[in-house]
Amino acid sequence: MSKLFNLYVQDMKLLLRNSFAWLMMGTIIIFLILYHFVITDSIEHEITMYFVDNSKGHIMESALEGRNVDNVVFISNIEELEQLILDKETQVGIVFEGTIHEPRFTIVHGENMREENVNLIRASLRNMILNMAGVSVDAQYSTKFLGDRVEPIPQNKMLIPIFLTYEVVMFSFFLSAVFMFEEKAEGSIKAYRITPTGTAIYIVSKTLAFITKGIVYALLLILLTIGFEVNFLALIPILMLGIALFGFMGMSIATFFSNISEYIFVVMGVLIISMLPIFTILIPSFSPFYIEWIPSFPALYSIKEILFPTGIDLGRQVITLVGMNIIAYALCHFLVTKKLMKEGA
Amino acid sequence: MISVENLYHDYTGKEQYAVNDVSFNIKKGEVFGFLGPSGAGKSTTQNIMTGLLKLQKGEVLYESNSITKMKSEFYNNIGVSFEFHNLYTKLTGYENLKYFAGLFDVPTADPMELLDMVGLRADANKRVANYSKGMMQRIVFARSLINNPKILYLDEPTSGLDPTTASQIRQLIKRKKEEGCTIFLTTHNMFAADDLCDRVAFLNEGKIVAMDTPRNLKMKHGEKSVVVEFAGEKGIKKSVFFLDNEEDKKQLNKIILNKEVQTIHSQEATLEQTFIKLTGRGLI
Repeated sequence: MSKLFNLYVQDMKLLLRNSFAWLMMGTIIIFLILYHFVITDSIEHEITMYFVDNSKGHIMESALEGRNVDNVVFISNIEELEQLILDKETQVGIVFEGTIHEPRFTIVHGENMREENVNLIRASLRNMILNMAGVSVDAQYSTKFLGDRVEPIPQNKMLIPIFLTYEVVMFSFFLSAVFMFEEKAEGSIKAYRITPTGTAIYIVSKTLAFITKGIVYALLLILLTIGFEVNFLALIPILMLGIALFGFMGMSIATFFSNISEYIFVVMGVLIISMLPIFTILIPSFSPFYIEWIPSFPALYSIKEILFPTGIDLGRQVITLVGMNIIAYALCHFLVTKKLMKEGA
Repeated sequence: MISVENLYHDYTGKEQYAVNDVSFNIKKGEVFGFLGPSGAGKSTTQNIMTGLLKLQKGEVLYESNSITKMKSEFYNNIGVSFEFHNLYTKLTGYENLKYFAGLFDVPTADPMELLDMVGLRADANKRVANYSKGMMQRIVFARSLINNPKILYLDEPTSGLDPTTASQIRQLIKRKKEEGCTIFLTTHNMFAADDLCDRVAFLNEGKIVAMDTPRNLKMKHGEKSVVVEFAGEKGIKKSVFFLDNEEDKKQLNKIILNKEVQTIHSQEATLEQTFIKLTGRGLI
């Protein structure tokens, strides 16, 4: 135990004197600036709708004027409307003809308008006509919520679990390799090999150092964004498991390389694959079967759930993380022993 | 105490041996010199003996126990000073020794005392990245002593040191020998070997070409000669006479009887001359 503590203190000192670790602190500061001053709670797209009311008696114009609706402008003819759309491609134009009972709408828009938005406009127009005809739209359908209803997560806060996973947790993947390459270049690993300390303490001390630094950064980030209203007792073990997992993975892969320029391509590859779970978080309908087996998924999913609880049980994710850690440690121990501790073996 | 038997090592896998049928024994408390030029196989042999390289063929025995059977505790008893300065350059000299000491299961020496011994106390809190090559060499040597080893492996311990510091290191090695430490000294510095070693082995192209005490090697393979300075007709003259040569002996007698001899010195071959004679090559 004293050997582990001794090596842990050494690794912490090396970590604090490593420029890459301070780079991580720099990115956290940049994130905090973006969070507080640049990224808003939500993005609001204001779309001005231009109406041409060709109905008899301009019934649409009269109805909307009475309701004091924003972002709606009535113009006199279709040619003017088309010219406006051509000039401002993001705007939408609607031509209304017929009567309340037999309405005909023509939606005029630029090429960049998404199909979903066009459908939303169609549905809104339908509801509006039904309301004008005195039909209650709310009576036609009902909504049933499964599980507890939760407040939507503001978009700037939604970035926190993503940042924690890809900056704090995954940084150990990069940092563990940086450490190993420095030891290879300095030859200090050779000096370590002529001590009675062994592979396990070598791996664990480094992992504990990465965990310490990662937890400090994570707490700093959370306290300066969300505040104290977080279940830290649940969050810290998940962060520890995530940091350890990527630390083991980083050390395992780094045994095959000798410097950071060779390794950077691996980092890019791992990063790209590991970022796929972000899409699952942002677009829940994107959840291919393999996504849960990407090591970043259980970490990202669990961190998001702990920071913004929806009542989902995290047991499965925790078991997955623990299982991945056991496999990753076993592989790391084997490779470090074979390729680092026994030269020529 | 240490027995190396028919040791081979092949890095290429094509039976091109860097170490080729090397055998020797080292007695307890002995300083054994392993001498040869760069690439002769000295460091490879040392790395096999310390377990850093896997034993491919042959045997290395410590008190009749094979190196292949040694547990990690074996490293509590040995100290290794590497030729290359494998130190944490972001740590200070003191930190390098302090944290290294914490990796052993046996009582260790005080890092500051060791730094003092090698003349680095004043630079103890300076980062190793700012050390000179000689300072790094000294700290690597100091580190090898941290666990009070019973066996010391020293790979070129005086390489790159100024004469005064090299002399200090040689004195420390002698002190460790007096304390009963067994020392395996790998070097191509014949002067250091001659000064420190009880026995030496000459290694060339992976093979041992000669092994004995430095004196015996010089006596056996060198030519005994006498250098005489005497007053001649045009000032002081200097001549060398080989004592194995009858004609030289007669000439020497003549000078002693008829000339005014100023100085007379017997002269044995140096270890380096002996090595060159045996291998046909120099030591660098």
